[in-house]
Amino acid sequence: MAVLLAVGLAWVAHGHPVHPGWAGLVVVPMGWAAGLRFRIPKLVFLGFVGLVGLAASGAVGGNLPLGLGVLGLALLAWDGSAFRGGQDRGSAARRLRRSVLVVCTGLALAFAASLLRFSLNFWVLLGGLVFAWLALWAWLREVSHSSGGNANGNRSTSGPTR
Amino acid sequence: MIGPKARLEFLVLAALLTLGLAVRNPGLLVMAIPLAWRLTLGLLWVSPNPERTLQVRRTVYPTRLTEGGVVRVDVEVKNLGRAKLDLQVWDGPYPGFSEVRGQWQKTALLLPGESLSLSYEAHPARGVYFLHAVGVEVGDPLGLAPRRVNLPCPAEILVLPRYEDLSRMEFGARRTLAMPGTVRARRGGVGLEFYGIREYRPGDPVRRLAWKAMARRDEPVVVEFEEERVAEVAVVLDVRARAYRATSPELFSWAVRAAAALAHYHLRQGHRVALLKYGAYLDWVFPGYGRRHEQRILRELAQAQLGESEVFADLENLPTQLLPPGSLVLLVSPLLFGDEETLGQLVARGYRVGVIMPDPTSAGLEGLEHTPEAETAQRILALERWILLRRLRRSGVLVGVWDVHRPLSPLVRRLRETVSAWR
Repeated sequence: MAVLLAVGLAWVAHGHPVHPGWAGLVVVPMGWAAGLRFRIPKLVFLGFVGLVGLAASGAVGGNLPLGLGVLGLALLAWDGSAFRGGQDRGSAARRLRRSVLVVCTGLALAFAASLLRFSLNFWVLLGGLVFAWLALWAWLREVSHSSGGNANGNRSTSGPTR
Repeated sequence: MIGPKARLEFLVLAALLTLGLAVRNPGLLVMAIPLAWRLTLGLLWVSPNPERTLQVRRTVYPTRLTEGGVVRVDVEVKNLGRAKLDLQVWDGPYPGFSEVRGQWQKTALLLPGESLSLSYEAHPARGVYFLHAVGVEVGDPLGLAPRRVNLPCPAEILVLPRYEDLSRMEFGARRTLAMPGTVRARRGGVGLEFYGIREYRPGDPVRRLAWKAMARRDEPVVVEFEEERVAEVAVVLDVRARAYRATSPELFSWAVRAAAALAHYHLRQGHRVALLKYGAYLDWVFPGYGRRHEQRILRELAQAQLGESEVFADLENLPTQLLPPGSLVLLVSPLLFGDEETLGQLVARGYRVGVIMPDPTSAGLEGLEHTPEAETAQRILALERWILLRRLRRSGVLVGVWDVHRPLSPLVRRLRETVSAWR
């Protein structure tokens, strides 16, 4: 549902054109649904990238709030698709609530940032981003290579029941 | 570990930033903010090494059972830490476990001090199962860095072959050992069967005097019984995959069951029994007595698998030097052409050789359709087997062709009679 809404919003963000080529947008929700139904993660990945692309093109076209809306819906659908099977309703609802909260705060931050008016030297911006990028990369590297691969702890061995 | 979800989000973020900088469009940079926020928050929420706070207990009952039995496995995972853990726990599926009933995997949010339980029952096939670890995936709130670990919790399940309790066997080894047992030693001594009479020697018990013979001969004579002693028995299980080719996979299981029945019977009779698995490699359990030895043999039989080896393609490399001549060699095998020569040589060297041949046609031939060609092929196979059996019997090998859907006991009991009829 969120994917359909996102596609509709993207269409509106682009000025609801009537060119028949825009009907091709239905490929995104169809591919997403097929990916979920037949457990093909690549289709869901492609659907997500496609929605982000639509949101970005909407934002570039000058309709930033609608672009952000499309992005928000895409992120919610993306989180919903990654839910694992076999979990209870309460757990799923908790995850959904958390996802909505994170996405909404992210969108609010982005919207607030778009209202700020300041000028920044291009090279300062670029340097800052490269620095942030490198820091993030180093941190991710640290997280992925953290120790503790071998589990230990207070565990009992097996034995017959009495 | 960074999951595929986080990787893709990171790539999208990088693409938006790069594109925004390249085209100098603040809208694209703003679009990157929600993604950066999610990634930062999501990765900050990932707790390092959450599995350290997990306690796993696995209970297996019974750890030792026979084929067809049911094993029950209970797994309990407890969160000893202070953080909530989003867990997916699984134990299996293990190859060889069939008809699994119950839950072998579960997903739950585990609060501090809470535990999650899995419980399932299964019918394991013959074999030894080593259950090393319980699989756990600890998720994070946004699913960006799921951590998959195996928590060691070793358990072993031994599934022994189901075997028949044989009542009697008429044939035994040619040579016996010094200890009293059940095999006729062809010499006078302590026993139950009449062996002959001989002259009285000082010290012979008076109740063994043969009064009628004494009256005829006019000298004191005593009755002598045939002494019964233990013997050395080698049960040889043919594990050459070539011998079971094109037969039902069940045929090998039946062969294992027959070997187990023979070993059990002879150990119960007090004989020294050895087991040899011949085929893929030489797997030998040295001769021994008693219950512990029987368990050793059954464990080896539980692990028996078919295999291929050029060295052991024929029976000529049977390591008979491990058994003294005169011992009883019991081979359980569907047999191949050429095996009769080696078995005949064994008989010539003084061994008593018996072959239990599980009938491939009784277990069903694999992939055979009901066509005239298939029927002809079956008849040719039957004729070949008939020739093989005839050659074996002529060379003095005792052979029993076993219809696996019938009990083994009557066949083993009749084995001697069959041979005398052929001779």
